[in-house]
Amino acid sequence: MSRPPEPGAAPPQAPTSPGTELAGLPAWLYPAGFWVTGALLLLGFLVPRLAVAGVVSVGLIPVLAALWVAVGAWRVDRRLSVAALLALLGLALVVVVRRFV
Amino acid sequence: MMLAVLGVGLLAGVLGAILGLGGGVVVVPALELILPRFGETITIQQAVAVSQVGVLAVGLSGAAAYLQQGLVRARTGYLLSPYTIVGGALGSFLGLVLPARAVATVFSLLLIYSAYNLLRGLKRVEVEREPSRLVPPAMTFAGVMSGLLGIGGGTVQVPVLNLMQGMPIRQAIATSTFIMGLTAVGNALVYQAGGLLNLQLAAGVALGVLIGARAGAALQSRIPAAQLKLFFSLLLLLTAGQLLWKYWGGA
Repeated sequence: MSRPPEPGAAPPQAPTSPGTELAGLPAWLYPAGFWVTGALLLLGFLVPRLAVAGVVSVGLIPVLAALWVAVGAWRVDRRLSVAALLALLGLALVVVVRRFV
Repeated sequence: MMLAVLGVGLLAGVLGAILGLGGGVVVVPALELILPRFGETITIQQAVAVSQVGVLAVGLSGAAAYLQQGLVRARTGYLLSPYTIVGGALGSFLGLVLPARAVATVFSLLLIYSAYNLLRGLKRVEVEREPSRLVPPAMTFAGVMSGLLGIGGGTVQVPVLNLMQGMPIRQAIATSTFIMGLTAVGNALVYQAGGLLNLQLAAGVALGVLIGARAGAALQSRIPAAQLKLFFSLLLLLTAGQLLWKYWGGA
């Protein structure tokens, strides 16, 4: 059982309850990513040689979000930050290994 | 042809929003069935590669909506995502090296299993509880399946998060969608490196999914889900049979 916080103590910095499990993600990132990506995909649909921009954009949003969390949570929730870094490292590894595929 | 591809994405988006089953389960067989009618041939691995970008679009659209509703357990998602990424990369490499017949067979089994789950309804728990120790390997397996078959999280990941991680079902669905966004990035990179990703087709499907997911959310209350489930289950079974016939019929 967790110990109740002492009066006057700072609130726990690591989010633990379901309601606060947003991991420090900015509220605007995914909605903005949705619209920007939608516009780029539409552009790629109309001008096929620009299709790559929309495809890159749709993959870039989760990567940016993970990077944001990895940096933002470094001091307050190291485990979360390391997990986000590991996820990014996994993707970086895929990028490196793909050269040999 | 691109309008038909857009239509495939739209269908996947709408069905995903209404039934929670609309990623690769729709995109892969639909591309395999439709493109030959326009004189284009596509292997199942190429369809899976395109589907990975469709899954990315589902992840983006779903995460945007679910984060707004406060349903995503982002912290848990990030803690589990390294497992799904490793599994996804492994599954994608398997997708590159396995013969098309093997991938088609596993995919057909997945379609049959999905149809069964749709008809029966997934077993689910609503009471939060301690996570099982088997969650990391199970999430890695979910990643392997996503990489190999181009599917989202609905079929494997949601049951793992709900039954093994002890997460309530709505949060499990939202968190699975969130995790899949990150996993599918790695999967798409592997398929792109293998020369299987057609960017134009991928962009068309992704655009359709983005629009379809929004439209599906609006249509959700107007469409009788029970009849749609029955119809879609039969369609899945038919598609599984067709895939098996295509890859094994001439054997």
